[in-house]
Parts: sequence; C-alpha cells; structure tokens
Amino acid sequence: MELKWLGIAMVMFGSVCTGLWYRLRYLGRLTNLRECQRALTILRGEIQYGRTPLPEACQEVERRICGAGQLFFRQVAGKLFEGNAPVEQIWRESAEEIFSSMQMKTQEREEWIRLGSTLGYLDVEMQLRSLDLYLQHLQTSIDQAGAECRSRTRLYPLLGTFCGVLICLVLV
Amino acid sequence: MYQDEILPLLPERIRRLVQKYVTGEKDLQEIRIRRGKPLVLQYRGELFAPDMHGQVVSEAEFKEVLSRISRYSLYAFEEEIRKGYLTIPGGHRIGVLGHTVLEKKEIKTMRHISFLNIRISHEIPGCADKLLPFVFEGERFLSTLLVSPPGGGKTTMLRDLIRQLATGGENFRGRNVSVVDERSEIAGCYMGLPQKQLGKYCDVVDACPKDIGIMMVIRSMAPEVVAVDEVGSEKDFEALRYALTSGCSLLATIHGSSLEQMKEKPMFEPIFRSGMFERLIFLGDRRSPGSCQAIYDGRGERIWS
Repeated sequence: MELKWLGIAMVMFGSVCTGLWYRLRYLGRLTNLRECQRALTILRGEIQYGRTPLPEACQEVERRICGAGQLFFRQVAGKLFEGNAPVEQIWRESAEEIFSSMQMKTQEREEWIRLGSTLGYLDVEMQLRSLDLYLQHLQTSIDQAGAECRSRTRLYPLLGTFCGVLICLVLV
Repeated sequence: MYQDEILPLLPERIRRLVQKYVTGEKDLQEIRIRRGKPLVLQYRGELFAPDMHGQVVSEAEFKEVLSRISRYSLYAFEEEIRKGYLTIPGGHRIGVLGHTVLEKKEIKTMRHISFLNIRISHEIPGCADKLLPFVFEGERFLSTLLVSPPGGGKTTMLRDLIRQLATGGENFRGRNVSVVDERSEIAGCYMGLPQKQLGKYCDVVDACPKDIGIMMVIRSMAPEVVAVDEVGSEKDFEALRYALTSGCSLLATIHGSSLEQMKEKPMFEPIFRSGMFERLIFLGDRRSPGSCQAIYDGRGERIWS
C-alpha cells in the first residue's frame, strides 16, 4: 500500500516538475530576449553618442550586462581586438557557440547571427538604422514571448498536474 | 612595419597575392583595391596587376578590407570618410571613394565605398641628406617648400628633414621643430604618440587643421621651425605667414610639378607674392619618388638641377 502511495507521489512530482520546467523555459526565453535588447541598446548608444569603435563598444556592453550575453560580448570584443577575422565570422561563431544553450527560437537565433553581417562597414546613419531595424524585430519577439508567457506559464504547471493525476488514475 | 601594419588589413587571398609579387617592401607604394575589379599595385614606380586568374576582388573581400581598416567601425571615421581618406596606425593613408551624399552643397557622408587606395608610408632615414647643404645659411635654417606631384615622396622627405633638424647633425645644431600633422601622416601618431622617428626636439600636434595648429604651436611650444604637410588653402598660407613673422622658419610640402606651372596658377600666388619660402625643392614623380629634380631660391633663381 505504502509503495502505491510512494509511486503516486513520484508520478505527481515528476509531472509537476515537467510542467514547471516548461514554464521556466518560456520565462528564460523572455529573459534572454530582453537581455539581447538591453545589450543592443547599450551598443547603439555607444555608436550614436560616443562613435566608439566596435571592439571597445562590445567591451563596454560586456561590462554592463550579465549572463550569456556577457560571455558573448566578451568573446566578440576579444576577437575583434585580435583582428584576425571578419566581424561577421566572429559574431556568427560566438553566437553559435554561446547562444546554442540559450532559450531562443531558431529564427531568433538566426536573426541575431544575421545582425553581425551589418556591423562594421556602414556609416553611422546606416549602422544605427540597421540596429534599429533589428531592435524592432526583437521588440516584436519580446511582445510575442510575453503574451505566450502569460498564458503558458499558468498552463504548463496545471497541465503537468493534470497529466500526473491522469497517469495515477489510469495506473491505480 | 609593412608586415605588421599593412598585411593584416588584407583578406587571405589578396594578402597571399601581395606577398607573392612584392619582394622589396620599400618599393611598394600603393595597393589599389576596387570592388569587382582586379587588384593593382604601384610597385617600383610602375602600375602592376598581379595575376588573379581572371578573378576580381569580391564583395566580401572588399567589405573585409573596409571593416579592417576602420577597426570594424567605419561609423567612427565619419569625418575622415567625408574628406576622402583615413589614416591608420603607422601613418599610412587610405584613400576612399564611393557615392557621396550631399547636404547644403557639402559632402555629408560617403556610401557604397568601392575604391580604396592604401598608400604605404615609408620611413627612409637619411633620404634628405642630399638636401641639407641647400637648406642652411650658416646656422640659420632657410624656410623650405618641397614640391612634387602625388606619390613623389614629399612626406617621406619632409619626415626625414624634420628628424634631422630635430636631432642635429655634424654641421648644424638640433632645434625645436613643431609638426602640425593634420592627416596623422608625418608622425603616424597613435594615441598621441608618434610612431615614426622624428628626433628628440620635435613636438607634434596630431589631427589638427593646419591653420589652427600653426597658431597653437607658436603660442604653446615656441618652435624654431614649423613643419606642415600639403599646404594649399589661403588659410594655410595666412597661418604660415604669421609663423614667419613670429620668427619661425617654415618647412612645408605642396602638390606641383614645375616652377613654371606653379607660377601660372593663382593658388600658388601667395608663395611668390610674399617670398615666404627661401628654398623651393622640386622632387620627382611617382616613377622616381624622392629624387631631387631642381632647387630654386626664394626669387625663383635655379641654384641646383
């Protein structure tokens, strides 16, 4: 009898945890997108107001953010200072290495990688425009992720609990 | 210098081509990179196109050079791009051309840059030795103007003259020389420090317009000689006149090919009107850079040829 209750408890625990894990995934995606937005806003400011060269601007972004974004900009700044590869390649390789473990949709990751191909060779007006365009796309993704988050962060734990109850009922 | 400052700017394929064909780096004057066209070198005074097997400089390669010369930040060089050139560490000047965007009849910026000319700055200690006997009158340094067409070695000669004046030699003492380096070409300053050898009595104001810089150095550094590269505007001549009346000697360069051609053009008139230069030294063209063709005194009398 005790074994049965132990089994039910384990199934319920597993189901609720799965629901919570999905909830955290959605929250993580939103946090990551917001972190990218913050990083690019800092980068934009450095370009617009300081005309700071890209290696130093990336270094400044790295100082002012945290998490995976900080790792990304640290790596990009370091490689730009070495100057051995085109910025597009440095940006893409760093994104593939660091952003692969981040909660982001494939399309969002690809757009971030594409941003690297617009950096470094444009005049200030065009450079700011290309960043603004990307920031607009990012804002749309953040709005979508926020809306999904609001509904799904409540849905997944509930779904997990119901699934657990269902499995228990079927098995018992 | 060329290994550390020029080659890293070039994409792999172009770098290999330049390394393959250029054996004496001192003879390489220019690397011309045009989008969608073959690579061209100005080497040993001649234009030369390395064999690219029918291929051209690709869009990606051009973009790579452009982002490397600007340290991945073309936007940070807006003012330089507007003037049509930028200077990289080492004092090498890179000419840029493309589609200009005008605002109120002035160039606001340049887009779709498609033509680059990497002009390699040379440092040849001693190249001005042959000129020294002509630019002194006793202990006094005579105001000197170096004249040549583009690529004639004016800046290299000017740099060595500055170095010798600011160091001193067997027959003359070293003196305070102030350099107004508007294009960062003479001293090749990086973070304010000259990368070229300019002598121990030399001060440099970097990236400053010539007319403003000349006034500044006269007030602040009390120079005996004021040196500037590529004078040309009325403002430049006015500032040079002020330096002269302040008791300084002048050392300058200007684009030109012969005394007769210079006398014909109104823009050169201030030089002859006030006789501000006591020596006019004509150098060779890009086929024989640094060679001295003729030397005139301030009245236009030939004293050497």
